Amino acid sequence: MTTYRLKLYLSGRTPETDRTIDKLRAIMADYHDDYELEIIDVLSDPQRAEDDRILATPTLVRELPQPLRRLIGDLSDTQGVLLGLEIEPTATGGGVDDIAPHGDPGVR
Amino acid sequence: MRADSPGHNAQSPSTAAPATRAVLEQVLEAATDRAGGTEAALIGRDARLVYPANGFAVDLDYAALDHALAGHEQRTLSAADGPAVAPGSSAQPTCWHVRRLPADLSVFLVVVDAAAPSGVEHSSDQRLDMLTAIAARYWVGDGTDLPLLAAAEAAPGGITIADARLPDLPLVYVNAMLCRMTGYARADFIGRNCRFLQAGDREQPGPAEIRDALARDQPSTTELWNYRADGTAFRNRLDIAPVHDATGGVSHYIGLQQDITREHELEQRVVAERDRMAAIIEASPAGLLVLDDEGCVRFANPAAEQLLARSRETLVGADFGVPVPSAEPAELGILRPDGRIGVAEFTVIRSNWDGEPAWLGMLYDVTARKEAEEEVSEMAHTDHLTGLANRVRLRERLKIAKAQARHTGELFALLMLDLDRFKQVNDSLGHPAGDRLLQDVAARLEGAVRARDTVARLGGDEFAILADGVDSADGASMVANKVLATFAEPFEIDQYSILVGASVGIALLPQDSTDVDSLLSLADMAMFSAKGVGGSTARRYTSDMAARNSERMDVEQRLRRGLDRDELVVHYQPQVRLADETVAGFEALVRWQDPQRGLVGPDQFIRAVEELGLIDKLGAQVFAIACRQVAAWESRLAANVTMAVNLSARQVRGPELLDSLQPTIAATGVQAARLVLELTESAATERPKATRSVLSELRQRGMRIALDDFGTGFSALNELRTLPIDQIKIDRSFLAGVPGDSAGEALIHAIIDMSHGLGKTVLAEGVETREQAIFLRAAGCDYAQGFLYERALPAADIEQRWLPASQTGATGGNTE
Repeated sequence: MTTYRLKLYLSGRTPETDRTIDKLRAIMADYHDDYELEIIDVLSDPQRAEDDRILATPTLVRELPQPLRRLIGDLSDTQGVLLGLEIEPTATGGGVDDIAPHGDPGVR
Repeated sequence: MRADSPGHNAQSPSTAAPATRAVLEQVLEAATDRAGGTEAALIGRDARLVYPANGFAVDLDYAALDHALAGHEQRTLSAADGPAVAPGSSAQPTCWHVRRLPADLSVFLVVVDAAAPSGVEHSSDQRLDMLTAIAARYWVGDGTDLPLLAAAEAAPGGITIADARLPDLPLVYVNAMLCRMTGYARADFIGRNCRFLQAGDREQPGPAEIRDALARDQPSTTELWNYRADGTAFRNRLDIAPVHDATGGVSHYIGLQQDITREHELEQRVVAERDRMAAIIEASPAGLLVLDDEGCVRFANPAAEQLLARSRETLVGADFGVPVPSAEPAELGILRPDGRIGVAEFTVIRSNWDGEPAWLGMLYDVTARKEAEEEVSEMAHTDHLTGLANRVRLRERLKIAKAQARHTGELFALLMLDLDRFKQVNDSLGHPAGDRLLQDVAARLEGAVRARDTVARLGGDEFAILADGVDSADGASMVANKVLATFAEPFEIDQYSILVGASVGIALLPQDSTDVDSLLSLADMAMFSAKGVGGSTARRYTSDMAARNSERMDVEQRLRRGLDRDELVVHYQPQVRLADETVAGFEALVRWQDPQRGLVGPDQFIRAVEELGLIDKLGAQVFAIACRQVAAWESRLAANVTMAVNLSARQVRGPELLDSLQPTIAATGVQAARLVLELTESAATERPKATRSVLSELRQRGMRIALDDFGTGFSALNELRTLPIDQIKIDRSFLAGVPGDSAGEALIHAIIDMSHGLGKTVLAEGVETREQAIFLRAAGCDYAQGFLYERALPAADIEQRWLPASQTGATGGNTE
C-alpha cells in the first residue's frame, strides 16, 4: 500500500471546516489508512495558497502517489472522494456503511 | 419570336419540332463533314460554312450578322434586314433572334433559327433546347460519347456556363434545374451575365469575392441572395470554376448553383440560437466554469471572471481541481489575488466540452449574503452590554476547540468567573452603575488574555474565558492568576472606588471532559468551589467537586421542598441581663430539619436559600414562628420577654417589609414592643437613607432595632449616630482575647461607652466564659448571649429551662 501524501487547504477554522477534516480522516481511516495529511489554513497562511495556486477552498491535493491530483468541494460524498483520490473502494475491505460511525451525522 | 406569315407555312406544325431536330442533325453532320470530320473542327469557323450543303440554306444578311456579332450586341434581325432566303428554299425565316454568343455557338444559333421552317414558331425554350443539344455535343469534345447534356440537365443543382472570352461573361448555357430554381426561362439567361439574378440587391459581398478569385484563376465559392422571376428571394450558393482551353487560357466559367434557402435559414436559426445562448452565458450572474477531467479550466464566463477576480485568459488552463460532487451545493472559499476571500456556492454537473467529458461548474456568489449572515450571527453571538462573546458563541468556540484538541492534541482551558459581591454593588449603586462595572470588568478581562482567546459574558456577573495552547494545568492556573490580578485595583464607578473580587473555576479540554456541556458545568463547579472558600481565588476542577456539586443540587431541591413543607424550625437562644443574669429575651435562630441530614445550621443553607431567591420566604416564616412563640409564652406562661428576629439586608431596603410584617403581627397577636429586629451593620449602612426611613417606621410601630455583628462593618460613626437603633450587639470576634488582651478590652470599653453615649443599650455576643461575663459586667455592658448561658434550643427546652411559670413574673424587657 503506497503512502498517500495529502494536503487540505481550508479557509479558517469553523464547524464546517472541522467537519471536512473529520470526513476526510474517516474516509482515509476506512479505505487507506496509510496517509499523511497536512492542513493549511489559507487565512493564516495566504502566501502558501498563492504559491500553490489554490483558487478556492476546500481544495484537497494528493501529492503522492503521482500524478498530482487536485480535488475541490466539501468532501461530503465518500464515493466522489474515493474516485477523486483514485482509491479502490474495496482496497482495504471498507464499505460505505462503515463510514457512518466516523462520519458527522450533520453531513449525511 | 413572332409568328411567320401564313403563306410561308411548309410543314405541319405538329411535326415541326422533330423535323427541326432532324434537319438540325443533318445540318450539323454536313457542317461537320465540311469542316473536316469532327464537330470540334467547327469551332471558330464561319457560320456560312453550313449553309450551302443543305436545301435550307439561308441567304442571310451576313454583313448585318457579322456586324451584330462583332459588336457583341443583342440584336434582332428581321426579314426586312435582308433577302433572307435562297431561291427554292421552303424555309423562310422571318426572324432571327440573335444574341451575343460565343463565336462557336453563334453558328448554331443562326442555323437553328434559319432552319426553322417558316410558319413554325419555336418557343424560346425549344430553340434553346435545340441549341444546347448542339452545344452539348460540342462541349463533349473529341471522341467522347458521354451524354453530358443529359447529365447536366438531370443535375439536381443549377449549372451555368459563361463565356470567359466575351465581355461581361455572358451565359451560354444554363440547365433545367436552374430554370426551375429561378422561374426564369433559358432564354432569359443566355447571353446575359448571371448577376441579373441579384435584381436590385447589389450590395452583397459574394460577387466581389467571386471576381477576385476568378481574377486569380481560382475556383470560388460564395453565397448570396438571388431573386426568382416572381421576385421572391432565395439563398444561392455559387461554386464557380474556370474552364481552360487547349492553350491554357480560360475559355469559360462553369457554375454550380444551389438553392440553400432552407439550409441558410436553419443555419441562421442555429447561429441566432447560439448567439442567444452565448449572450445568456455571458450575461449570466452565475459563474460558469467548464472543467476537464483533470480539473483544468476550459471555459469561464464573465461572472466567473468577476467572482474569481481573474481574467478568462488567466483562468483558462488554470488548475481548479476535480469537483467532488455533493448532494448539496458545496460552499467554497474563493481566494482572490488581492487577498479578499469570497464565498460561493458550487454545484457541478457532468457535461461535455469539445466532445470530451467535462464538468460544468456553477458558482453563485454568496459573499454578500454570507457577510450579512455573519453580521446577524455576530449580533446573535455577542453580549450587548459588554460586546463580549455570549454563551452561544462560547459554545461554538468550545466545539471548534474540541475538534482542534482531537486533531492536534492541543490543550484548552475553560475559565469560569463570577464576581464576588456584585449583587451588593448592583443593589446599592443601582443597575446603571452595575452595568458599567460589568463593562469595566469585560475590558480588564480582555486585556488580561491574548487576542485569540475567547472572553464571554454568560449572563449576570458570570464570565468565561476559553484559552488555547495551554501547555499544562499550571499554564491554566497562570492564566487564572493573571485574570484575578486584574481585580486587584478598584473599579472607578460614579466617583466610587469599588473593590470587587472574582472567583475562578478552571476546567481543561480535553483532560477533564470533551463534552461542551459537561465542560461548562465542571468549570462552574470549580468556580463555586472557589467561591466557597471565600472568593478571590481560582480553583481547578477536581473529580470530588462533582460529588459535592451533585450534593449541592440535591440540597437545593430538598431545601425548596423543605420550605414548602415547614421543615424549618426555630430555636431560641437566651439573652440575659449581665447585672443579675436573668433572662431578658431570646434570639430566634433558624434551623432546617433536613430529612436526610437531620438538623442543619443556617451557615450550611442560608447561602443556598439566597441563591434560590427564597430568603424572603424564609424570613417571613421565621418571623411568623417567632411571633407566635413569644405571644404564646406571654399568654400561657405570662413571660415578659423580648424576641429578636434577624432581618436580611434586602428586607430593610424597601417599605415592603412593613407591609409583610404587619399582617403577621396582627395574626399572631404579639405585642410590637416584644419584637426586636436585628440587622447587620453592613446591611444597615449600605443604603443609609432608605434604611433609616424603614427603621424609623418600625420603631414608630413599637418595635425595637438592634445592630448585629457590630464592629465587622465599617460604618461611619456619624451614621451610627443618626441611625434609629436601640441596641448595639458587639460581635463575638471582639471577645476572642478578652479578658487579657488589652487592645481588645479597650475596644469593648470604647464601644460600650460610645453606645451608652448615643443612648443605646449594648449586648455582647458569643460569651463563653465566666471571666468574659465578669469583664463585660464591669465594663458596663447591659446584656450578654452565648454558650456560657445556653445554646439555641427548641421552644420546649427553653420553656423548661428558662421559663418556669414561677420565674417568669420577675423577668422584664431587655431594653428597658
